[in-house]
Amino acid sequence: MARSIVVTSGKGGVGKTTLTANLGRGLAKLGNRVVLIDTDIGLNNLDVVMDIESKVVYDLIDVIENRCRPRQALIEDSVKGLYIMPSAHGYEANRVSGQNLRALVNALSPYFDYVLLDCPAGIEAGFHRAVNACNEVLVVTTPHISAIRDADKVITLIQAYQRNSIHVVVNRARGDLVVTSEMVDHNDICQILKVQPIGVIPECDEVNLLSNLGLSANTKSDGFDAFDVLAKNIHFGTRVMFDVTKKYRGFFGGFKRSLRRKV
Amino acid sequence: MLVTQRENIKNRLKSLVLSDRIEGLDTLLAVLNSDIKALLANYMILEQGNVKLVLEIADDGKYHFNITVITNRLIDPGKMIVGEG
Ligand SMILES: Nc1ncnc2c1ncn2[C@@H]1O[C@H](COP(=O)(O)OP(=O)(O)OP(=O)(O)O)[C@@H](O)[C@H]1O
Ligand SMILES: [Mg+2]
Repeated sequence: MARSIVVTSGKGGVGKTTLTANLGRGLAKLGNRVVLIDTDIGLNNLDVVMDIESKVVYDLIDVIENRCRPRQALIEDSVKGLYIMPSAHGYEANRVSGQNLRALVNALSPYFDYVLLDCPAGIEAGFHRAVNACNEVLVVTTPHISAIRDADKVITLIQAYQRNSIHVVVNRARGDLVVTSEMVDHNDICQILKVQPIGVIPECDEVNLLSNLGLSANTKSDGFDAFDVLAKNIHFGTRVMFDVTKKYRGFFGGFKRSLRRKV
Repeated sequence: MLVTQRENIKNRLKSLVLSDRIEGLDTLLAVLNSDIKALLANYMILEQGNVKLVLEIADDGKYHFNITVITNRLIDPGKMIVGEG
């Protein structure tokens, strides 16, 4: 049976979709069979980030309303073992119930090692639907006060579901600002949230470009290495945190910090 | 000076998160209070203000609920209503 993990945040735009896509790739590269389900109905983006939008024939709603089998809606990625179930454009989100989604996750589970759900922002019905369908939760936050506050609210809500595990990923961490003690780091954040960190992803231009170019673009940079470390932590149960400050420490680090500022 | 900036953010964050949690807890407290009263009313006569529910969040983040109940009349156990029929 697959491990089902929902990627959520509370605050919008903190990197749920980006993380779902890259974590999926990272897990598949470790030899797992992975399926990504875009549950952000109407505001879906996973297909664009994965660069498969032109291949969509059936979507989540077609599966739930029995117009096709779950397997028919899956699109294979260029990474072996990775599949995407796209969400629907312009449908009313309330056509999908929590039970529908749970049933879909259960139906896919025997064929995969991981089912990852990209959750919509907010704490409305779409959030509850996605959390209810999974056994594990990844809460994404950035190192900004507004995102961390929302993450805390989401964590409190999720605790009511008694899920197996809740973990925090700090995305868009600025190593340069952590080195100069101008920004909180993942330890500070997780200490306040009282939840274990499972990964840190640096702010990274290559990752940012991916939302325009799609995942088939260049995936060589710190950001992508950090996603691979996260995938290993999830798969092997390790807790290795990618060092976002490494680049900015020492003599040359000072140059890089001032460069980063100018950029 | 810069070290203080990180500490400042951390402290601000701590107090914001804490006040958010307390705000969310107000509703929970109100519901819990009325549930506790309903339960206790099976065992004793309660008057206005007889039940006090106080919540404190300890430094370790754990919730401490303190319930104080004062009554001068317990209901005779023989007459307790335990689900009729
Ligand atoms: N580590 C990163 N470095 C740089 N840019 C990033 C990083 N993570 C995400 N982004 C960028 O942030 C933007 C928002 O990301 P994304 O769409 O994944 O967020 P989201 O949480 O799914 O948003 P929504 O709540 O709208 O669904 C995108 O432009 C993405 O490229
Ligand atoms: Mg998204």
